[in-house]
Amino acid sequence: MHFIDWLIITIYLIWIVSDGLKRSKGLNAVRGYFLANRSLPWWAVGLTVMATQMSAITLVGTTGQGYTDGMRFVQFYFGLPVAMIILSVTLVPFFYRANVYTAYEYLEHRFDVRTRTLASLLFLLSRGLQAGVVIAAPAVILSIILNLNLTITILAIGLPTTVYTMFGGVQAVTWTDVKQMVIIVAGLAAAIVGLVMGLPDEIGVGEALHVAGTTGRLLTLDFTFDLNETYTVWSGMIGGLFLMLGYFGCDQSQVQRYLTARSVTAGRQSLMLSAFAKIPLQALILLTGVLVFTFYLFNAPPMLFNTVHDQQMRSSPHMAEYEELNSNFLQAFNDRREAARAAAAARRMPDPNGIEAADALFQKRDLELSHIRDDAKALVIEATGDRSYSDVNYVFPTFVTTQLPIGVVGLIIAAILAAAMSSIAAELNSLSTATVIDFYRRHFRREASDEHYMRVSKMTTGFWGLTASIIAMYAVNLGTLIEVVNRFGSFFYGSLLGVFMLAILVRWATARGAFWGLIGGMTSVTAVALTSEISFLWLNVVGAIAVFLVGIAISAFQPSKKPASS
Amino acid sequence: MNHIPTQEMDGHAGTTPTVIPNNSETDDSPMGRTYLAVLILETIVLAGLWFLSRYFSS
Repeated sequence: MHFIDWLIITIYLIWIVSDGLKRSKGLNAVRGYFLANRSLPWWAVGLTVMATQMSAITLVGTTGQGYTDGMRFVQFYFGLPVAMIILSVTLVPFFYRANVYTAYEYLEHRFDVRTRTLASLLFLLSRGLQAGVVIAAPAVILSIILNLNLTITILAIGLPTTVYTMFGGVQAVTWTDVKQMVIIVAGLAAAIVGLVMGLPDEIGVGEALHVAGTTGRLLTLDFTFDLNETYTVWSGMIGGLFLMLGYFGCDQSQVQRYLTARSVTAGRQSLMLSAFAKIPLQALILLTGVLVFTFYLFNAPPMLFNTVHDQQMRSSPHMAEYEELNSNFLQAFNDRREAARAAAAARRMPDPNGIEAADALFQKRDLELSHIRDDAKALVIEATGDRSYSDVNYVFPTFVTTQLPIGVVGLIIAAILAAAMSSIAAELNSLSTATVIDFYRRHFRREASDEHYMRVSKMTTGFWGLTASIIAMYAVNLGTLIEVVNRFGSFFYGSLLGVFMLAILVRWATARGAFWGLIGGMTSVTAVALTSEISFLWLNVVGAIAVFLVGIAISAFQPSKKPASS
Repeated sequence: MNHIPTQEMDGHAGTTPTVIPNNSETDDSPMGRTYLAVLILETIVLAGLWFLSRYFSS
């Protein structure tokens, strides 16, 4: 990378950390540290909600997914707008008027301390591990792309974030998130401009997208109902609805965002921003990946986007075989490029037969190129023993660092860092909140000065930042652990949503019903996940319904000891 | 003014003092039109995605 790009990244890091640290001025109470004294405007809260959800994994993984698979992944978010409306009507006013710091604090108001503690513990375990993954995933990619030491990259992401979150609290998290969202969108826009300008002069964007469309990459909506298929309209609308309800309604890292809003209306409006903008933004990110594909139709891509594996293969016993594959790949790319040019040119002629023939030839050449890449990947798996090998996450960063001009590279790398840091900051702040409010203050030190709790809050933020960084260092060596941790979220969100559904919808539900319902829900999800092939999105539905039904059944056989509070 | 039940009332040892919010904190403006706008926009976006996918995949 050029010196100017490093300078841009350095300026970004210094700017964000200093902006976060200046929020610590006058911060002397826990209510300000965790809830910003409920003073934040709806648009800032809305942007931090979006920034918290969009980690670097979204930015590099989703673009990579657009490159390899196309636009189908956007269906994952189809349930989000309805979920935001439901939450605005139900949980936002509930939490706001209950005057709680954490979502799980409400469960004690409604049920008992045991249910609250279990729910908060599940959150700490899940979010604590995921915070490590959110650092690890982009760190691995950036360390390879930028040729940096992995540990230094992890610390470069984790430490600055921990520092400004620790001292600035939720104000720092929110206002840095606002700036980071601007950087992310600016980075995306710059990438798209670079991609469009990288097409040959005689090829228009529409023509290039038509050519990409022949591979199915522009197919967006799948109306088939197949529980084993992850990306369909139904899995997104129904399974995704439950996932989004669970994540935005029951995960403290999101709940705390809208608890900082000035009013119930401001909290609702903040969620509406996601409801309006999330699907178009996600479609744009996927389209960026598709545009990377169209770019590489006319500009030679690497056979493998992970340069570490490329170098390993060139110095391994499989070198000769790998070099032959690479030679075949270059030839196949040339053939595909000519076929792509012909397919684009055919669309300028009013001859449907000509278009069909050109498309068929392009699809054939594209398939040939894909097969060579698959052979190369199989060779890497054989040579390294890494069965989970995939270079999807390296597609976009490789494109950025090898094809875009100086300055733009720095901006987009800063955008990737911004996406990581914005998510991590919110997670650390929420982990600290749950630790202090649900455990330390509730069980260990019930009466103390605000100054004492402030000190403990800062220490726990630092603790979680350090823990997440250490987890990241181990997670990078355990590829499947990342998948396990992410899927644990599916076990957790649906079940926790079920508890809140019991709390709000069933006035006679008892504390025992809620507690054992939660246990039953997670057990059911585990059983279904281990014995079936259904997509993980549907596990959220299974968890919510199981908790709800088990909770009702147990509550029905137990008289309520107190009136249900709303 | 809303009365928020405290943990003391429920028989649990309370740790969070009850704060009765003032009217500005519980500002509860109607959101019906906003929700409708969200649903309409989602329908438009989905229709747009469907149209684009059909157009570029044909």
